[in-house]
Amino acid sequence: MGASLCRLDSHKWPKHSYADLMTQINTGDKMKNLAKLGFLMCLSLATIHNTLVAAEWADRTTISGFSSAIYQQTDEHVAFDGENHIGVAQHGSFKGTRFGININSQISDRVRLASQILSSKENSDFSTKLDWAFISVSLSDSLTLRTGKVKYPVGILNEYVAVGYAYPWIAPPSLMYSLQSNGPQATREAYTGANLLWTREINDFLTSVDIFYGEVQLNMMRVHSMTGSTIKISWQDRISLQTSYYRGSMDPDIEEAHGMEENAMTMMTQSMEGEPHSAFVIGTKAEISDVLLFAEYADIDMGEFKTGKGTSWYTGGGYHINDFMPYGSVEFYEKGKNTMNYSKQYKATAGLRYDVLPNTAVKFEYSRIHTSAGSGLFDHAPEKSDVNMYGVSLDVVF
Amino acid sequence: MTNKITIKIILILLTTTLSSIGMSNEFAVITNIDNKLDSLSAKDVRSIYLGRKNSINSIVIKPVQLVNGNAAHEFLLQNIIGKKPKQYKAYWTRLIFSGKSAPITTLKSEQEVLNWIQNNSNGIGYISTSAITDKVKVLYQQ
Repeated sequence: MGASLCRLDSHKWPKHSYADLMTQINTGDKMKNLAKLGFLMCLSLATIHNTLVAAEWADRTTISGFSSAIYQQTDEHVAFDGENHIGVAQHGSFKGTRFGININSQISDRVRLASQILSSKENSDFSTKLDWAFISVSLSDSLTLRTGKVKYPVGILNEYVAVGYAYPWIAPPSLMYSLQSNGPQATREAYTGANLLWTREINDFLTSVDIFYGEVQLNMMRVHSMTGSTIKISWQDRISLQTSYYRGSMDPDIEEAHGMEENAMTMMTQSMEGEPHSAFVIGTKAEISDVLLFAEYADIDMGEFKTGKGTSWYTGGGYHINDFMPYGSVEFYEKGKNTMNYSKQYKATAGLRYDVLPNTAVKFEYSRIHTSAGSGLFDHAPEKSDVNMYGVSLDVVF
Repeated sequence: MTNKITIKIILILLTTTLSSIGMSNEFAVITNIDNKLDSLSAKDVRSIYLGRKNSINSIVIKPVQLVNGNAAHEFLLQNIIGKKPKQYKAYWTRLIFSGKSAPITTLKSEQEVLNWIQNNSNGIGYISTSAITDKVKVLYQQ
């Protein structure tokens, strides 16, 4: 950009300034001095221009952030919601501790670039990734096109699942939202592709339709050619109903599955290859006065790969009492019925959220996990059928 | 005599009730004097501050809001949006971190809103009616 400014012609400069400058230059070294002067002028103009561009860019860009510091512990040595060195077990875990930065740049009146960088504790260290990033083009007052890596619009909480401040629990109901390979696989982090989002407000009703197409990378597989839609109807912003359906084709990821035994890996690969992966998810949320309620149900199908077929649901809510909110929920998850890997699990949670500051919340939580078949979200079958889990978190947005 | 006292009591109660539910002139949505928009409905104002509209009648808008504690901001939340400050904050947290909307710029005072509106042709802001000047255009008033 600076270079283009150097093409300024002398005849475009103010006449008296140009003449004054000319008289100050020794005629013998005229060409040499002119070159020096030109270089300095270009440098100055480029600096000024770049500063202005930076100022304009800063004016169009906003940066927000969030963090969640989590500690959870169970009374079972087999880890829950993660492998033994990652999940929550009796030795305690900071799993889920994370930091995120959200950057929004308004490129033009109708084009916006949005992205989120997320750094989260995976095992002994943190890993940082581009959580999502997309270009959003406002096609009309009610129609928006987004393309890039877009947050998965399936599940009421999923689009802001990393932001603990935004929901009552320490973590979203895991029997519905866990992304572990032994989990329900109902929803995802983000997909790479494009979506068309249509919103319309009619009287007290807000309706939105999100049609998306793309692919997602999961634990041990990739779902490609994924097509889906999410329809949401909200009344006065108090009660909303959201339903989604998507369908894609599974492609086992051998590299991701390197930890498995060879025979198991071969069997899994053969049974998954080319099979469909679809899910139907429906949920409702009510926020009336001080009462907050959630309920969601998911039905997952993976064609002939029966181990992946399952259902999941949860219901819960909270009640605002000034800066406090006691909350509770019940969750259920069943997967692989009539197979060797059948799992059935329940989880009941009670907790207290305290909003210490307008942007900071502390949560204390107790859960009881009952496994009636298989391992559920445990790394392998737990010794106890009923496991107690305790947790505390600090959530901040800024 | 008894009737006059009754009427007076009713008038006092009515005045108190009306002012308490915000029927007095204390809130105005303003824009730049050169903006093509001439008016907004309460529904438009609500949609703008809930991040649902980036344009009205195909005219692109750029809203700003005031900090918590400002009277006009409290009027907006209570009478137009219908959310408590905590609910409004939680709502915007969900919107921003899902990528559905960029955050609205927050200014500290009504004077800052006036200055900002004068320098932004597509700017939308709100102030107390007492702060209105002839350098801005009023789009909505309550």
